[in-house]
Amino acid sequence: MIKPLLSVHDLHFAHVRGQEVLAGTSVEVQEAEVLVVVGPSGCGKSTLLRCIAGLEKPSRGSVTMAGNALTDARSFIPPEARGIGFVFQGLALFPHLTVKGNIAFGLNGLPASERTQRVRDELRSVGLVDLADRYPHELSGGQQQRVAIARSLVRRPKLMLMDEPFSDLDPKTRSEVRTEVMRILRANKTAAIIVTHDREDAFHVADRIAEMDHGRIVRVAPASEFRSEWTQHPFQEV
Amino acid sequence: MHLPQNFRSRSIIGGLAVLMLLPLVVVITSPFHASAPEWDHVMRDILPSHLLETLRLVGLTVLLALLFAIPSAWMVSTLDFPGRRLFRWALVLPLALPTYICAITFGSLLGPTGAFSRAISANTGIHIDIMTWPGLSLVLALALFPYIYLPARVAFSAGMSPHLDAARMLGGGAWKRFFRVAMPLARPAIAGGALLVAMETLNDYGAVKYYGVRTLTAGIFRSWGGLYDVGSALRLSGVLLLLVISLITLERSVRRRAGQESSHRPVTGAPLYGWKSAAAVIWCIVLFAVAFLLPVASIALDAFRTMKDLRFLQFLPALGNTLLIGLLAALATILIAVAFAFAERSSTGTNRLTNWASIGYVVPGAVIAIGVMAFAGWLTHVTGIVIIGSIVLMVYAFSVRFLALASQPLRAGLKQQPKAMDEAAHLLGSSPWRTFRQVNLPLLRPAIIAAALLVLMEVVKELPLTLILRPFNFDTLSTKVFELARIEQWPDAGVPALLIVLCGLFPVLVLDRLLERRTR
Repeated sequence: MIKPLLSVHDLHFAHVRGQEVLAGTSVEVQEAEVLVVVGPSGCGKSTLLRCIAGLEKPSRGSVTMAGNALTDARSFIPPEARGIGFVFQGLALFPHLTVKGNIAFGLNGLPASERTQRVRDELRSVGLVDLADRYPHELSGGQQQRVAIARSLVRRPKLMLMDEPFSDLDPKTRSEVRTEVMRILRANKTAAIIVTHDREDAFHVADRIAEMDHGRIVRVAPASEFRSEWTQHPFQEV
Repeated sequence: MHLPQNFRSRSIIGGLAVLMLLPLVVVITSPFHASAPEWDHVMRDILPSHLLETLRLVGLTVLLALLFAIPSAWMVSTLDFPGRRLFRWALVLPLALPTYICAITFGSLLGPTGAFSRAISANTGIHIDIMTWPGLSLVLALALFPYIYLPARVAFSAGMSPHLDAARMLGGGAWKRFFRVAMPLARPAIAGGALLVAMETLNDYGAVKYYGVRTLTAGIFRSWGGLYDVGSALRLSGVLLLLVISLITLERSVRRRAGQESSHRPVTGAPLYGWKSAAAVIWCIVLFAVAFLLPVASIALDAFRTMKDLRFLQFLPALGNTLLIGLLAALATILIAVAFAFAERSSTGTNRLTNWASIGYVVPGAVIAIGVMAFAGWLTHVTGIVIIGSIVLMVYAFSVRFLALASQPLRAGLKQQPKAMDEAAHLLGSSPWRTFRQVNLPLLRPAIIAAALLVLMEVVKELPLTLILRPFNFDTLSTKVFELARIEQWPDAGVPALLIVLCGLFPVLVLDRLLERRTR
């Protein structure tokens, strides 16, 4: 078997007030694979992403990417040094920076000319060249979404984490943005973990789907397998 | 719907609002109605120097306050180190010290003949004198920095966690997160706090008088009490008012340039280790010790000394006066605030007027006092009624100054009562006034009590307005403290000063709790 890009092993995480949100979560993601995590709200999906990103520190377990330990019993790499992209629910664009400023934010230590070039390339690839000098509040929901993705992708991460990336969009924009995101991810050969509670989103973007419940991954299978099952029981909540 | 009644209540509300705005109108229009025999001298010799000293004192004070407040707020909000939760609220406490008490205490310790200065000079030969304008800025900044610390703490704690997380995921280290994300986003909150620091500096009289710094407020006192020229005092008040208005305009323009959404995920503090953790702890301890523990300990020690021989009993009349004036002012202010709240609730169409009427809170006490006095003088001239030098005038001036303070809790309390409740009462045949009296008002009781306490505590601390408007031989705790400091008997003022500080603690702690509830 090929070595996975990301391997999460036996993660445990509890909030200060006790209840365990992750209770031994394990999952793997291959190079350029899109894994969708589904599950009821409160099952720990978002916390799993935050632990992989390093925004939360799990009490036990390990996160390894491309053979390097990001989190284990001895070491903890801070989020800013992990080289992982994150698209937040609600996007968290910087309201005081333009589209250009938002995208350039993460490009540290490059000469100015190269920085400008990278930003320009990225703007072109997500089709936002004309909006480069706008502020986030002057953009539509779909455009904001693309800025958030471009902002992460410009750093060329091996792995993207996306928390409910389509949830704030209306149905039409939603399917457009979904197609667009997949095109960008595939073009860059970027692996991704996408958290959603929407089955349709899951079908459209996933290579594999992981079902999560009570802080554990209960099942991982190719999207097609879930699809046949879900069409048989169309009304069951994910 | 109830036309005649609506008209009547409109006139009452309108009349009250005009009464609240009158002192300011008197000040602004003074060149047209008040003769100022000494104005040539005042304009030539007092205004330029006083304006310059005001500007540099305000500038340096705000700068130092920012320097104390922002790192502290950032540390207790986004980092984790031993004692962080304690410092989080402890650093608010310096606000309990009125500026003049803080300044005089530091003067008594670090002035040319201060206890610490003498000890240092005896041991090292270095002469220390804090009683200069930069020294005063430092002391004022120590007393006032929580005005910036509090809103900055709220901004850093709650509003921006998703943006800070996003910055981390984009590779932003701690410095970059602070300067490129947190500071721009917190700018409106910080600007608001800085404005309050500037206002308090402009408002202060006791500290600047004691340190011999010539601010506009000191100039007003000099024109009024030294030159006996109310006209010039009014014009200087007008200049001070213009300064206040330009500061507010400046703050608005800073505020407009950034908007902030809020989120409910509290920021998790990034743990600090080793020397970084030690540095954070030392910063907080030193700031808290110098800004709060040191002055309070010094006052408490003085108070303890005077308690032994019952000298403090001489303050009983002043305490009585303070409580009397405080209660009357609280009562009057609450009545007006309730009337305005009712008007806003039943939409009598006077909202703009009642909003304007609360402007007194940003106006320095001396300006209000001079305006009120000029108005009372005119009243005597026209009707023969003498109210100058009476308690009535003080109560009136305090209502003008503290109306906003009383209105805020009432408005917040009323907002929590659903409109449907009023509508239900109307459908049951109750008039708007009866609905307000029997439904809204009883539910508002906690807010009214809180508002009354806030006004009472502020009156206890207040100095410049009290000094100008008090009747002859009418001493309050604050005027006593100031008098004793002026005749170099500061240690005797321990007991009243301590009482004032204790009074100040209450609103500060309430404010801290309220803001914490909003961030959690």
